Amino acid sequence: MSRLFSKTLLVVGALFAAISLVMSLVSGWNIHRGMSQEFRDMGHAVAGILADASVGPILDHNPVLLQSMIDQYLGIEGIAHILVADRDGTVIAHTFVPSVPPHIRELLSGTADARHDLASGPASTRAIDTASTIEVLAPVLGGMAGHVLIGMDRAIIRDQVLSVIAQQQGLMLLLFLCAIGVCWYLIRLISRPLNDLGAHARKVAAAEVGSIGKLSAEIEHLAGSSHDEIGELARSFMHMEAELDQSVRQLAVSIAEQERIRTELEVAREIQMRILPDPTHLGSLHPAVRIAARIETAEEVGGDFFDCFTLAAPLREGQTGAPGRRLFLAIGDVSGKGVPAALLMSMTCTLLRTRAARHTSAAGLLEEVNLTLSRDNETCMFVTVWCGFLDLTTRELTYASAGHNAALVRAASSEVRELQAPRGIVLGADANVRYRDAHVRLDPGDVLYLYTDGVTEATSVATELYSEGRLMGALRDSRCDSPEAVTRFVADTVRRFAAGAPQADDITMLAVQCV
Amino acid sequence: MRRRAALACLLLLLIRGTGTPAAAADSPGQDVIVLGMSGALSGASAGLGRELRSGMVAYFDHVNRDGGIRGYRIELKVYDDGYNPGPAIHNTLQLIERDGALALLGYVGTPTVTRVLPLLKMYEREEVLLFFPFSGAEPQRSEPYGRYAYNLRPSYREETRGLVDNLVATGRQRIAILYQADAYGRSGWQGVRTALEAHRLDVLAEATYGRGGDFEDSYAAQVDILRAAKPNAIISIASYAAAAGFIRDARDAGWDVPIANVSFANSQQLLELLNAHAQISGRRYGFNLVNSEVVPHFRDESLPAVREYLEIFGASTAHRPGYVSFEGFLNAKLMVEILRRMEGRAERREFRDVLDGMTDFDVGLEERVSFGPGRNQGLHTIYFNQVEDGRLVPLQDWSALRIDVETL
Repeated sequence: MSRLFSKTLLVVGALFAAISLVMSLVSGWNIHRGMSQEFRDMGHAVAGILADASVGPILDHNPVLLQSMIDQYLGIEGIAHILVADRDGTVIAHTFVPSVPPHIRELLSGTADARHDLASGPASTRAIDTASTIEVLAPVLGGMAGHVLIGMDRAIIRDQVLSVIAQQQGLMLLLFLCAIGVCWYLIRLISRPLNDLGAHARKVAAAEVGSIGKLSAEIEHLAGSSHDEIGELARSFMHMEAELDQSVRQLAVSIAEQERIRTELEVAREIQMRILPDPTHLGSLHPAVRIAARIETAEEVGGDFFDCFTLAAPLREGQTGAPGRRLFLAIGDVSGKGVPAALLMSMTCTLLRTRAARHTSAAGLLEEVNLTLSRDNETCMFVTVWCGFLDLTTRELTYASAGHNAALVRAASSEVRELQAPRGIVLGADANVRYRDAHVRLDPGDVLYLYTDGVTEATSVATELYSEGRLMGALRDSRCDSPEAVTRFVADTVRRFAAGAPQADDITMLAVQCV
Repeated sequence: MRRRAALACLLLLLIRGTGTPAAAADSPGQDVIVLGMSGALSGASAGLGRELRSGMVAYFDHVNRDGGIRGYRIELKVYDDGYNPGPAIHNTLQLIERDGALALLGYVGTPTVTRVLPLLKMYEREEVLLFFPFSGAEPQRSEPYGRYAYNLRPSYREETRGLVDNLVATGRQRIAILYQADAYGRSGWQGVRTALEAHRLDVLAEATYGRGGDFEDSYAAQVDILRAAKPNAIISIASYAAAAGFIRDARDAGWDVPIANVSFANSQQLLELLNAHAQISGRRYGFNLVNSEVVPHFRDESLPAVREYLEIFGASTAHRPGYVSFEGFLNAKLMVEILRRMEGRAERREFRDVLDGMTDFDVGLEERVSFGPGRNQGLHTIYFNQVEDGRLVPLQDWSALRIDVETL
């Protein structure tokens, strides 16, 4: 049985029961009232007739005729008993078995005095209600000859009321069953397609991609055959499924596309990371320096980069030199993220690497690279770069900055200072920008610390920036004298500061120490 | 073909030939005097109707065998009314209108007879008379209907007076009454009441039962009501079945009070019921019972009527002799005498003259029967009997009735 049917059945049942009860009560009450009145009237009529007919036998002292007469009336349905009393209230004929009950004798006791009450008007027939009967007392010759008492049986009224109520209840039950039958049929008619649609919807929900369209055939008959709300619903279902099918297909295509792009990006990242020097190999780059680097990318393909390799010293005229006496250092950050940034970073990296050997001036190198990048830079992407040449013999550093954060130097004495340099304009913005070199001689033990703004702009959970102040503090506090230890210490500090908050930018650092 | 046609004619004649007498049975034939009876042949009082009929039929058969009345055969048409007034009226109409009954004879019971009486008034012009009903009630003895009926048996008033007088004379003044809640009961009730009034006494207590009360019904309620009043005698105006039931319940309750029954309570059948019940219960029920009878004991062969009855009745039927069949026998004997005094096939209009001239007719009892203007009852002597050794014997000594210990 469907739940819809159960609910309807309950409501209809309650409704029928209520109606049936009310109807029965009303009819029962009406019948009771009507029949009581009818019995009273009949009692009056019969008592009147008997009172008139009794005159002769009473006056003739012929109780046998009287008895014979009242016996005839006892056959009338509803008459329970008849009694005739003479003027003294003595019962001279009656139909009671086994005897005249006391309450009837009490009723009669008052009649003996009736003839003394002439002043109160003519004696009249009166009805007295008792528990089981309606007693009608009629005077014979105005009460002077005696009285006739008719008892009308209430049990018949009660039986009649019960019989009518039973009939009515039976009829109501029949109607109820018929109504239930019709309801059941109608609800089945309505609920079956709904159930079918429900089952169909569950199937659709569980269906494999691409098979939704085929399921619609199941409800095609509903959509086609009925023109009511069910048909409308079925048609909506079919329409929705068609849309859903298409959307799911599109989604599948786009997921595949995204997957492909993601795979490609991963490849791109690998390629990009391969462009950068492997930090684990930096330690053995040259015995005169110790180098450490660290890069943590915020997205798969980031825009930060660093580079570090040795160069032969530039040959002055007539002079030859052993190669490996210069160390080229570069760190940079491409504006934007993702593939375009990665491409620009690759390009910048490649330009710096290929052009570095021709230059002794960091500014010159930057100007050449800027010239190339600024040409046809329609996407208006920029790169900040700090780069420098470290003479491994003299520990003299020639450096320049294209809009990048200033480098920091941590002396062996834990003192930290910023390497002053003209900040310069970012690469790629203007082909005609001039950069200026700065020079500094590093002391043995000094750690040159290069970083991108990902470090200083690392954010805590409370969206507070890590800041240069904290960075310099961390450098100062790092009681380490090796570049690896310094970079690890700073990275740990930043991580603790961020406390798991997602970082928007790559975090890149490069540290070099002259031995 | 001719033989077949002749055979068909013969068959037709045969059918017609047998059909005519059958049709004649419904309407009075030339040589038949039809008398009509309606009585209880079924129901609680069936024994009365059957016995009464058997007594009448035995005598009529005897007369018919001897050549009938002037060559006219007497036919008694009997219909069953089950002791109910409605069927009794229907039967009476049938007897008068269809069967052409010369007179109505031997109706059984007061409630039936009382209701039939107005019918006789209706047929006043046809002069339909009711003879010798088995009822001692007053309506068929007094105005306004007494003129349409002739009674043989004494009235209940006489029976009850006989009972009351004898009971009072033997010191039983606290008399209660059990009666059937109908005209019969009322008739006896009135008789007892009137008889007691003559002694300046009143009915001590009364209880009723419904007409048709059977022996198997319980009469404990009636016993309780009457016993509560502590009477020293009960007069029972009941049918034999109810009277026997009441006696059984009274005795079973340990109540030994003397109980007197009237003739309608067919003392023989009453005793048969009690004797049969005594076999089952092992008690005795016959003590302290008195029955008033309207005819002498049916074995009192000192009476010519009894001798004739025993001779004719004993030879004709399988029924055992009894009061009721004896009464029926006497009814028939008197009826035959009346018919004999009429002329030819007898006409209803002859009845009055014949009856007016019937004086001191010897029906074979000690008492002579006389009818005439203002005299519509033939017999007035009441007989009493009691039970001894399970048999009915004439009551000799009223004072021999045991005194009920409860009322001492």
